[in-house]
Amino acid sequence: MNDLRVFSGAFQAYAQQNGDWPAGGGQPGAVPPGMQGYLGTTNWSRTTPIGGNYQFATQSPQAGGRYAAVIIISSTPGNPVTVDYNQLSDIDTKLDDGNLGSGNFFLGYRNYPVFVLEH
Amino acid sequence: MYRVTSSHLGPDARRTRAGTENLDRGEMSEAELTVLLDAFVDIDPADNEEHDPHIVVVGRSAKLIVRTSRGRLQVYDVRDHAAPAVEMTVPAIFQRLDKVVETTSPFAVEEHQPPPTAPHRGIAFAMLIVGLALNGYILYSVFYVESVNKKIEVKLLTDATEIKAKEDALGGVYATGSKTGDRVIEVDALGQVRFYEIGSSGPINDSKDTYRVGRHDGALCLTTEDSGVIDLVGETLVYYRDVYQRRKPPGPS
Repeated sequence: MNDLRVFSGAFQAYAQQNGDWPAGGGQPGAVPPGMQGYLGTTNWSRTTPIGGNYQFATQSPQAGGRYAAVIIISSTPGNPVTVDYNQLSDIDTKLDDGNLGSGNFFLGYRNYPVFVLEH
Repeated sequence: MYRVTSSHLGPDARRTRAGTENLDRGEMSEAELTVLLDAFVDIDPADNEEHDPHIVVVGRSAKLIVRTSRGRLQVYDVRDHAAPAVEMTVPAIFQRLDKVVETTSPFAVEEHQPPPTAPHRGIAFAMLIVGLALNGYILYSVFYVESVNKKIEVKLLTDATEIKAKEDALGGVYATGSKTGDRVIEVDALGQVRFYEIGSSGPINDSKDTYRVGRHDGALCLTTEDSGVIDLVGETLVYYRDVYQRRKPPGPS
């Protein structure tokens, strides 16, 4: 999931230049306000390799916790995110700790994958 | 009819003939052969000892060599050289010549074996089942997807009065908070449930489903058609480990 690393770099760059995260609350696939210059040439608005769309959220309640900034891979109508445990575990192993219940890559709301930018 | 050949035996079979190795006597009837054999047992013992006369008879079922000793007939089976001589009467010789005997040929033995029986078919059937099961397991392994969405066994409430009471009591709006990014679950008393997230310009990830009231692990819950299970814990809902507090109904404006 090189996309997530690219997006993470783009959001971190935005936060460094602007002193805060961009505003959340946008639909899956929508580029957050002010991020067009950072995400314009990426795959942000496309269907992800495991289905669904990327969504940026702030102060997001996920799996019993609340996270300052996250990228969620959300299902959209007719475009569900995979529920394949092995596939998601492989991604977690490459990105994080290999445990889908902990770390910076885990399963949150409706078992959608969540990548944490800031706790 | 019997094909008869004699060796060192004169035409009447009562005397030996030193100079005659083999004499083909052609086809003989039972009566003619009976006369020949009756005469043969009267042969002179000394001549018999010296020249070893014998008669070869070919019947429908056997080829026999008949010798005589002390007024009795000794019979050998040409097809079984190892077998000892058997003393036989003339009628017994005819019976032996005409009897349908069971051959010792290995091929003949196989011909008389019964057709494959149930145990053979059983083994074949078992191997077929094992093969199919193996193929099935391979296909299952290839195509099986272990889902992250674990099935939760919910025992639905069946008492209509209790269901109505629970639905009435549960109806309301529940939320993780009231800011952008928080999520809301709206439960109505008619079995409908709505999920959405508070977006920057209105609800996002908005979806509706139906629910039924039940229990799992002893706790009350709402089980939905496509959206999983919502647990009821006190006055709150717990959905994918997030806690949704009940909002107070808006006051009259």
